[in-house]
Amino acid sequence: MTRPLLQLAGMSVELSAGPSRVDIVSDVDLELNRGERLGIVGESGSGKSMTALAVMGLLPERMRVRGELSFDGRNLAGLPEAEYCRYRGRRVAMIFQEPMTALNPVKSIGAQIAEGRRLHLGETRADAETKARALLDRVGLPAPRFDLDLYPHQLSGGQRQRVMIAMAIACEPDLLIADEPTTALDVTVQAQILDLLDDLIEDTGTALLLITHDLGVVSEMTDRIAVMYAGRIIETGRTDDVFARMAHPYARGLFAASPHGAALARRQAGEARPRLNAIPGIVPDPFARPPYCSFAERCSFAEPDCRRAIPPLDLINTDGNVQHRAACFHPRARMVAP
Amino acid sequence: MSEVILKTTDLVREYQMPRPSIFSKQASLRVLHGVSVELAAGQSLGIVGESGSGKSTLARAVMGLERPQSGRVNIAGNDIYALNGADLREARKGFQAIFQDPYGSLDPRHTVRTIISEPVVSLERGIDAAARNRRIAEVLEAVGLPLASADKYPHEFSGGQRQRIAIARALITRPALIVADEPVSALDVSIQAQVLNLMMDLQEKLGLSYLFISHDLGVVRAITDRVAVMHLGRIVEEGPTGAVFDNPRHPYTQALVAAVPKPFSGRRKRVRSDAPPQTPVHTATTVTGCAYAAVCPVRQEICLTQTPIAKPVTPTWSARCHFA
Ligand SMILES: Nc1ncnc2c1ncn2[C@@H]1O[C@H](COP(=O)(O)OP(=O)(O)OP(=O)(O)O)[C@@H](O)[C@H]1O
Ligand SMILES: Nc1ncnc2c1ncn2[C@@H]1O[C@H](COP(=O)(O)OP(=O)(O)OP(=O)(O)O)[C@@H](O)[C@H]1O
Ligand code: SF4
Ligand code: SF4
Ligand SMILES: [Mg+2]
Ligand SMILES: [Mg+2]
Repeated sequence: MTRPLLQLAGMSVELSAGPSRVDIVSDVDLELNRGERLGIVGESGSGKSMTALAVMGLLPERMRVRGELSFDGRNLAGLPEAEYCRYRGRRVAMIFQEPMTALNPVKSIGAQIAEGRRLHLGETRADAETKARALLDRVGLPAPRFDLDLYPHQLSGGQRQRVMIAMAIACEPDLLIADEPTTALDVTVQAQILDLLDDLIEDTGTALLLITHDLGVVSEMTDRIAVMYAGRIIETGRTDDVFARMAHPYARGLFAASPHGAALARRQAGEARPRLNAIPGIVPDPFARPPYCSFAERCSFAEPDCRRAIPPLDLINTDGNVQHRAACFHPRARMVAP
Repeated sequence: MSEVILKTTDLVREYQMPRPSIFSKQASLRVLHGVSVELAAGQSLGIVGESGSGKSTLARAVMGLERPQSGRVNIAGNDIYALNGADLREARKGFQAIFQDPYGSLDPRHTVRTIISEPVVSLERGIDAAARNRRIAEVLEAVGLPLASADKYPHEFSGGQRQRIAIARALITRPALIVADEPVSALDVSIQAQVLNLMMDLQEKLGLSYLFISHDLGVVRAITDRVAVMHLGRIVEEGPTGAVFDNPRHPYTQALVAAVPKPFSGRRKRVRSDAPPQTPVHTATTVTGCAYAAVCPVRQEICLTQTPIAKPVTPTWSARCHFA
C-alpha cells in the first residue's frame, strides 16, 4: 500500500495567547491522493484556512501544529523553513483567500507569475515569461489588453484573483490548495476557471483541496467533502452521499441557509420579502469552546447527552470504499435528496 | 412612481494605461460606456455581470470617489460632482458604502467605537460627544451587536460580526442610500443569511435603498427588486430581478444564468477544448457593432455592423440586443 500524498492524522493547530493555549483546529484526520479532489466547507472562523496554512507551513506567529502532517511520506510539522521553501510553490501551491494581501503591489503581474518557474525550475526569464503569457490567456486575461507589465492595482477584484490562480498553477504542483478561488468571479468566468482546474487535475494528476462556501461549486468539483465547525470536521464522506443525507444538524442548517433554496420563491407585490433561513446563534469563541458538542447551543435536535461529551466522528455508512462519518450523537437519517 | 434616490446619466469612465514607450501616445481604456441606472427610494437595485465589467468602478463613481470623464450622478436630487466642499459634505451623509472585505476594511488598530463613528466625525464636525455616543448605541442596536462591542477591536470578532460593524459604520450618518460592493461574498452561507436578513430588516425599518453588487445570483434574487446586468462597461439587460433571471432575454444574461453551479447536480460535465477561452476585452473607445458578438452564440451579420440599443421587453424591462 503506498502512502497517501497528503496525510493529516490527529492534527491540531494550537494558538498560544500569553499563558493560555487553545486549539484553533482540533484533531483533524484527512487523506488525499494524487488526482483526488477533496472539498472543505464550513462556518466562517471554523479553521478551514488555518488547516490549509498549516499544510503550506505558513501559519501565523504563535500558532503551531501538533499531530501528524505528512506529505509524500515526509513529516512536514517542524520542517525547517529553508526546506519548506523547496516544497512551497513547486510541490504544494495555494490560491489564497485574499488576493490583495497575497499579491505584491509593487511588482508587475508577469514577474510574479514567472517567479516560481525561474526559482523552482531554473527557467530563463524569456521562457518563464512565455509561460506566464500562456497562463494569463488561460485565466481569461488575454494579450495585449492584459500586458505582463500591469500592476495589481490596475486590475479589478476578480482579475487579481485570476492572476493569483495563474501564479499557483504555474509550476504544476502535486497538491493545489484553493481557498475560495472563485468568490470574486462571475459565474461564467468561474466556469472557465473550474475547467482549468479540471484540466490540470486530469493532465498532471494534481490533487485538489478546495475550500469554498459555495455548495454548488463543491458539489460539482469534488469527490469527497469535509464539513468543519468550530475547529473540527463534523461530517465527511463522498460528496454526493453527504449532500444526500446531511446527517449532522449543522450541515443541514448550512444547506437550508443557502440562497439556492426556499428564499427564491417568487414574491407577490406588496408582500414582505422572504427571509433566508439563518442558523440562530453564533459559533463559540475558540477560547470558550464547551467540553461537549460545540453545536449544542444552536441545535434544534440537542438532547441531554449532547452536553456530556464531545461527539466522536463516527462511521454512519460506507459507500464503495469511502466512509461516511458524522460527529453527532443523534445523526439525521432521513435523506434530504434522492 | 416613487421618488428616485439615485440616477446616473451616461457615465463614462476611462483609465489611462501605461505607455509602451515614451514615444508612443498614452492609451486610454474606456471601462464605463455611458452607464445610466435609476433606483427608486426604498428599493434595491442589483448589479451583476462579468468580472472586470466595471461594477466597482460604477460604485466608486456613485460614491463620489472617482470623477467620471462625462455623465452625471444624481443622489436625492443633487448632482454630486457639481457640489462645492461644504455642500458635498452635507450630501455625503445621505449615502455610504460597504465594501467586500470584512477583514481589510476595518482598521485593526482602532476600537469599534472609533471605526463606526469615523463618518460622523468627518462629516458632521459640530456633533458633540453625547450625541455621538447616542448614535453609536443606536446603530449597534440596529445591527444586533451588544453595546460592549464598542470598546473591542476588530480581531475579536468573527467574519459575520465584522461585516455587521461595517454596516453599523455605514448607517451612522442615517443615510438613505447604501452602496454595497460584494458585502457578503466573504461569508459562509449561514452568516451570509444573517447579514442579508439584517439588511432586509433595516431596509423595511428605515426605508433604505441599496445599490447591491454581487456575483451570487441567488443572493441578488433574495435581496433586490430590480437587476442590471453589466458586460464590458454597458448595461446589457435591466428589469425586475425575478423576471430577468427566470427568462433572461440577452444572450450574456442567458449564459450567466446557465452557468450557476447547482448543488445536487453531481460532477460537472463539460466539453473539453484546448484553445484558451475567448474573452472580449475593454477597448479605448466605442466599438461598432455589439461588444458581445465575439462570443455570442446567436450572432448574425447585423451584430457586427450595427450597435444594438436597449430595446424594451416590457415597459419596465429592457435588453441591449438586436434580437431580444
Ligand atoms: N492571526 C491570528 N491570530 C489569532 N487568531 C486567529 C488568527 N487568524 C485567525 N484566527 C482565528 O482562527 C480561527 C480560524 O480561522 P480561519 O481563518 O481558519 O477560519 P476559516 O474557516 O477559514 O473562516 P472563513 O470562512 O471566514 O475564511 C478563527 O476563530 C480566527 O478568529
Ligand atoms: N486603476 C486602474 N487602471 C487601469 N485599469 C483599471 C484600473 N482600475 C480598474 N481597471 C480596469 O477597469 C475595468 C473595470 O474594473 P472594475 O473594478 O470596475 O470591475 P468589476 O466589474 O468590479 O470586476 P470584479 O467583478 O472582478 O470586481 C477592469 O477591466 C479593470 O482592469
Ligand atoms: S451531538 Fe447533539 S447537539 Fe450536537 S449536533 Fe448532534 S444532536 Fe445536535
Ligand atoms: S446583438 Fe447580436 S451579438 Fe449582440 S447579443 Fe444580440 S445577438 Fe448577440
Ligand atoms: Mg478562510
Ligand atoms: Mg469589483
